Amino acid sequence: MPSASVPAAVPARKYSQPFFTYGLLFNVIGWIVLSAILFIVVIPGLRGGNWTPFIGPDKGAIWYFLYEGLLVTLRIGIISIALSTAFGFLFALGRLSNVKPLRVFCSSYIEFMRALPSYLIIFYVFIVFPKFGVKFEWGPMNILGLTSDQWFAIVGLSLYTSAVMAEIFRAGILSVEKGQLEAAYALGLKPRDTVVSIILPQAFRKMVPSIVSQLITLTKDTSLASVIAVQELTRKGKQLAEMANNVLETMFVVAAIYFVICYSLSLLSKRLEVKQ
Amino acid sequence: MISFLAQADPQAAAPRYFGKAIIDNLPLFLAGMGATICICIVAAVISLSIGLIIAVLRVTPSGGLKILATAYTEFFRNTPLIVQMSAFFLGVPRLINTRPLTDGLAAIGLPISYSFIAGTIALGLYTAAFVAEAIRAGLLVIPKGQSEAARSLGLSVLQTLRLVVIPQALRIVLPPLGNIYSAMLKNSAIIASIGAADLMFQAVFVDASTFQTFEVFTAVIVFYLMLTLPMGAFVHWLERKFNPLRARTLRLKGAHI
Repeated sequence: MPSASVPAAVPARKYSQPFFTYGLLFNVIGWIVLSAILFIVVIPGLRGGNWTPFIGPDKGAIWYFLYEGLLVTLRIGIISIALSTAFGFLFALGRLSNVKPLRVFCSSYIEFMRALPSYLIIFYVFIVFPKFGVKFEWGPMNILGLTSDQWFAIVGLSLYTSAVMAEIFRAGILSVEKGQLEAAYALGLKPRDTVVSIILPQAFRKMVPSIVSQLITLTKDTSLASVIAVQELTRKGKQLAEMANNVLETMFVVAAIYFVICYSLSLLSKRLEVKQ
Repeated sequence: MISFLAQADPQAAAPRYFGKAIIDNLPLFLAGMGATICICIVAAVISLSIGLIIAVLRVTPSGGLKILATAYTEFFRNTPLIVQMSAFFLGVPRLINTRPLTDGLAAIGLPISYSFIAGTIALGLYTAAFVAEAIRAGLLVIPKGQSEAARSLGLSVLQTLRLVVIPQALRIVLPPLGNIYSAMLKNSAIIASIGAADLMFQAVFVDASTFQTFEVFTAVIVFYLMLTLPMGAFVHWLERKFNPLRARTLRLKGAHI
């Protein structure tokens, strides 16, 4: 019997966790840093009255001031999203088309815009377009209370984001296997039906994470409108910081508002990814 | 008075041609371009070192620092760079005296204004969050069996990371890192908003002194393209060279032949 030949008398060596591990060290350092931030930054700040604008007697007016800026930010962001999705889709289709001039034009637009800083594009639209008489002051453009400056920001953001969106759409469309297209043709579907009911639904599922991450970038980029005097959240925050003389605290609040928007978008993106 | 004005504007008599404002102010543009490149190199070093530390902290199983690292990446990734830069530029001098830093740099022959330092550090910290995320994704892709095998062979946690996981992860991480740094090059334009004299700032400055808005900003677009297009080509090359999927298919092809 093999089991009988095993000496049973040897006691199993008890595994003991060593007292010192790197994990313990990291843990201790982490809690020290966290409490240092709490005791050096947060508590003196609370005591020094730098947070008074946000929690003091005038908090209603202060928060409303920021809320107005947030509305402008959201308005710019949503309109830019709509415009850049629509134009991005068109540019993607143009880049994939068989007509050579259209393809060359769309490819060069996409590569050109993607290679430029969005800050430069917004500034360019703001400062150069008016020299050529493009001022966005036509009556119906005032819809939703959009001022001329806000239109400059929207156009600048859309010019950049539509190029990025076009790349995302193109990658998504190309990621659908060629066999799908061939099968659809073999079944006798028209080219338009193939694109609408075979290619796009499959492509869209693959594109969702990239699209949402680009939306996050766009939301953050709306803050660039502050340099062309649009009264959006960042601009309002800077004014508030100047009035209340508390840059760090105000900028923290402004950043926290952006964080809530962007982080919920990224959570949404994760959810959609899991669902697939 | 009138004769003084006439003397003050010698260019008025000189013939004007398209692009004169650019030719006259070329040194300024080149200085701005150099500043942009310097900012990017320093910010790249900052972001790579901090990003690597944070990525390692996020994958090691430890409490306090892991929470801190996660909070750092999520906060810096989801807030606008311009807000962070303003906070850094205007806020930090209220907490600590930055005068000794700028004075010390001037003493060793680097007269850099605080806006440069603040902007570069803010750009580095912002990019570090993305770098950390990319590196972490690379570390997580490596099968768990690899690190388990290394651990059971007696390597410590740090040795496992250094000798087994990181060399493999580097191949996966390099293409996204290239994208992040090419985005950083574009983001560096935002540093002009806090008054550091980079390429974008010089454009605004030259525009204000020459009033040739169209020429100046079109030239700046060309200057930026001169920086970003080679960077983009490099990233494209990196993607093609290090794409693990492509490498695998190539290897399979070789096996079949």
